[in-house]
This record gives sequence, structure tokens and C-alpha cells, in this order.
Amino acid sequence: MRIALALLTSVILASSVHAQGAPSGTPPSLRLVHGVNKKKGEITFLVTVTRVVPVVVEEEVIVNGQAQKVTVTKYQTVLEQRFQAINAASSRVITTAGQQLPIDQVWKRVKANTVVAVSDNGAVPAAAYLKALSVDTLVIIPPPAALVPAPPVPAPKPKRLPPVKV
Amino acid sequence: MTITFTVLVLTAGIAQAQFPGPAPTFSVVQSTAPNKGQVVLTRIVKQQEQIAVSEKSLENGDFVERVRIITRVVDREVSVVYELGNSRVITPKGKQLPIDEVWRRLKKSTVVAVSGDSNLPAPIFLRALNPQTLVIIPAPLKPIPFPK
Repeated sequence: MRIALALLTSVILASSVHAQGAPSGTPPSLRLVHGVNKKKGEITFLVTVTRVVPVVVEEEVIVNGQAQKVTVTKYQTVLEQRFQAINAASSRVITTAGQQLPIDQVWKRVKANTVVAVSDNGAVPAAAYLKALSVDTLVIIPPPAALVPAPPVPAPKPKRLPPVKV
Repeated sequence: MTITFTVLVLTAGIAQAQFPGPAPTFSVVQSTAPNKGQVVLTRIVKQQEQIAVSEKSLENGDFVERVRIITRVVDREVSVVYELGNSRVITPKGKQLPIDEVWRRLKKSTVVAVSGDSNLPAPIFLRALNPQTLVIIPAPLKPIPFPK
């Protein structure tokens, strides 16, 4: 009996250790609130992402003692800013302790120029991710249908930059 | 439910001065190698993949099977190696941690925040983090080689 109990305890402990392992699921992303529209029930975020875009640069190279202009394609990192609006009324808003907030509290606490965490898969983020947030940070969980990404954007055309001397 | 996008393209230098820059993203420590000065982080990236879906329908009394290509978004786990010798590790209050303290606190399965653009994240983002969460600011990426 004692052996059986010890085995059972070790199995339970092993499973709890596994449960406390790496957090599962998608981490939430931090978003800057750009504005709120209480009438429409919308929260607008300003999301900044980095993208690498091709640019065409004219360079001067010395060939056989003579300066020649050549055109080369280089890659430049640019920041893109996107405004993204979600419907707060159809989303759940929780604290990092997992407590759901009523909508009137949401409008009181979500203001322009505040940062919130947004779930990217429509589910409550894993506890380890919630623990990594400040206790004052709110977590917005939009319904999964709201998170369908925009269709892929075609590759941008290279833009011409001023010549660079090598 | 509407999602609207307006896109502005700004050069990195201008954007850094006027806008808060990209938010840090969360990653999970997979393993550490203090002797090599490396930490392996796992992060989830969203990727679009196209799959063939067969659909059966009843047309004029016969079952017809059609194959349709749909695009879906899947989460992929990516492991990234960071050289901590070239990086900075700070607390959300902006205090830089000595390397021995970093190795002590970076344990397997720890959630860390990684700067989005090799710069110090804007204070507004740091305030949204738990004071215990470590923030890794990696060294800038090497230029992408010209494709052949």
C-alpha cells in the first residue's frame, strides 16, 4: 500500500513538474493603444513592425583606374506602422491574475498611450507569460475569427536611392 | 468585428526618434551555455501555409470531389541562438545586469522579453513588464548578403 502511494505521488509530482515546464501556446504581444472609441466599442492599436525591403543603390567603383557607376540592390530595414482596431465588446479582457474585467472597467483602464497584451490565438495566454507581465497590464483576448491576418502583401518594388561613393 | 490596417513606411532612423519602435516579444529559454556565452530561445512565429482540402458535394445526384487550396496560419516554434557577449540584458527598470547574474536568472523555461530592433525598448513597453522579467537586447543583425 505504501509503495503504491509512493509511486502515485511520484507520478503526480512528475506530471506537475512537466506542467510547470516550458509554457505552451502562443505568447501574447504587447500593443500600444492609439485610441479608444467607446461608442463603436473599438480599441485601436499602433503596431510597429520591422521589414526588410530591397533598394537600388548607385555605387561608384574604380575599374582599371576609371570610376564607373554600377547599380546594386541592397536591403534596408524599415519600420512599418499599422493601425489595428479590435472590437472590445466581443473580446475578453483579463488581468494577469486571470480575473475578467467588466466592460466599464475596461473603458476606465484602457486609454490612449497605454500598453496592453493581446492574445494572438484567441485563448488565455499560458500562466508563465502572464507572470512576465506587470500586474497592472491588461490582457485582451479577441475572438479567434478577429485575428485572421491580412492577405500576404506583394513584394515591394525596389526604390532608387542617391548614389554612394565607394 | 473589423480589423483595419493603414500602413506607413518610415525609415528606421526617423521612426526611432518619433515613435516608440517595435514592442519587445516574448521568448522562452530553451537552454543556456555559459561557457560559450550562448542562450537558445524558443519563440513562436506565425507562418502561412497552403494546404489542399478535398470537398465532396452532391451534384445532379452524383458525389463530386473537388480539391481546393486554402491558406491557413500555423504557429511554428523557432529556436534562436543569441550571443550574450554581444547583447545587453536589462531589467524593465533599465538596469543592466552583470553576466553572472544573467546566467543565474536565465533558467530553462524562463520567459524573457527580446527587443524587437536591437535597441532599448521604449519605456512604455518596459513598464508593461514584470520587474523580474529579463529583457534581452541583441546585437544588430549582420547585413543580409546579396542573393545570387
